[in-house]
Amino acid sequence: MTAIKNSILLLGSILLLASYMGCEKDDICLADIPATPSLVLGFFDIDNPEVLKDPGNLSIRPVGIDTLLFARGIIQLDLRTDQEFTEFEFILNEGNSETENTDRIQIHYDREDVYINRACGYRARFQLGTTSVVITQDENNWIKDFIRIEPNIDFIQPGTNEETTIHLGLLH
Amino acid sequence: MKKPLYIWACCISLWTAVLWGQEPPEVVADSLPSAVISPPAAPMALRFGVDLYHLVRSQVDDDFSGFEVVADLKVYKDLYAAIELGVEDRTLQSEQINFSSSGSYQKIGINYNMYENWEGMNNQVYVGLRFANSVHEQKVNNYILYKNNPLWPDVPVENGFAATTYPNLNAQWLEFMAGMQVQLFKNIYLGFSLRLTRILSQKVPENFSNLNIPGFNKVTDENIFGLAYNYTLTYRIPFRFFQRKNKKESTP
Repeated sequence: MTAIKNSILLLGSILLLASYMGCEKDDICLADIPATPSLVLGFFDIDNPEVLKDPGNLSIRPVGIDTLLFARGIIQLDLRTDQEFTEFEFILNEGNSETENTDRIQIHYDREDVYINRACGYRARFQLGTTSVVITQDENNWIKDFIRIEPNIDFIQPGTNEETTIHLGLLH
Repeated sequence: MKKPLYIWACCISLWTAVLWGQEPPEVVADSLPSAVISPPAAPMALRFGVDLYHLVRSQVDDDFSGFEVVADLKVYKDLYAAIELGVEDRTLQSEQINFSSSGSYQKIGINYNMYENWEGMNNQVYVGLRFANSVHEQKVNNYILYKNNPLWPDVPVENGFAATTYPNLNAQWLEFMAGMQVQLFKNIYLGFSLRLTRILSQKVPENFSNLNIPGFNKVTDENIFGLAYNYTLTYRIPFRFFQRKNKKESTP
C-alpha cells in the first residue's frame, strides 16, 4: 500500500505547489526609481544671457489642457509623449487687461523610451535640437529668444553635483 | 487565470477517481506446483500524445494559442526517455506593458517511475528531469510610460518607440518535475506533471526583457526559478520485438 501512500503524498504536494501558482507576486515600482524627466526651464537676461532674470508675474498655460500654472524662478514642465512637440503659453501679468502679454512657444524634441524593469515598464528621455524652440511671433513678444543649454533631458544620475540641470533658457 | 485552473482542477479529480478505481486482477492458484513461470517483463513501449491544457486553453482564451506534443519511451525497468515539443503564442498585460511572446520550445529528459504497479497495470508516479530550449520573439503591443505626477493625460504608446518586435531570442533552462500517468483504457493514459524550472541562460532583447518565455511561462526579475505544468493524453504503442524472452523454466 506504500505505493498508494506515496502517490497521495505526491499528489498532495503537487496540488499545494499548484495553488502557489495561482498567486502572482505584485510587482512594485519603487518610488526612488527615476521616471520620465521634465523639461527644466530658466529665464535669462537678453542682454546678459548667463544671468537669470525673473520675469515677474508669470503664468503658464499648457496648450491642450485647461489649466493655469503659477511659476517662479526655474520651472519644470512635463512634455507630451503623444506627439513630438509641446506648446505652452507664457503669460505675463495674467488678469491685468492693460499689461497682460501672452507669448506662445512650441518646443520640439526627439524621444527615446527606455526599459526599466517589469514593475515600472518604460520611461522616456528627450533630446532638444538646435532649432527646437519656435516662438510664435505676435505684435508684442516679451520673450525674445531662447538658448539651448543642455540638449539631453534625462534623469539625473545619482552622485552628480547639480540638483537641477537647466535644459532650456528663454531670453527676455 | 481562473478559467483554465477550473478546467484542470475538474480533470484532476476525475483522474484521481480513476486511479482509486484500479483493481488488481484475480489471482487463480494453479493446482500443479510444477509450473512456475514468471510473467514476461513489460514490453518496450513508445507513448505519444498531446497536452490538453494547450488544447483547451487555445479554444477558450483569445490571448493564448499553442500546441504541445509529448512522447516517452521505456528504456529500462523504471526509466523512460521523454520529450515534449510545443509552440505557443501568448499575449499578456504586465503592469503597464501589453506584450506577446511567441515561439517554440523543446524539452528532453528522463522520467523515473516510483510506483509499484499491480500485475497487468501500467500506472506511473514519477520524478523527472528535463533540459529545455526555446526559440522565440517578444512583441510589445502597447505601453503606458512611467511618469511621476504627469501634466498631460496618459496615452498608451502603440506605434514606434519601444512598441516593436524583438526577434531572434532564445532561452535554456532545467526542469525538475513530478508527475503521474494513469491508465484509462487499454493503451490510453492520462497524465499530469508539475515542474520547478530554473533558467540557465537566455538571450535578452535589447530595451525589453523576457517577461514570459514559451514553455517556461512567467520569468521574474530577481528570481530565476519558475513553475510549469502539463496535462496529457497519450497513447501507447507496444513494440513486440523489444520484449525480453522468458528464460526461467520449471524444474520437474
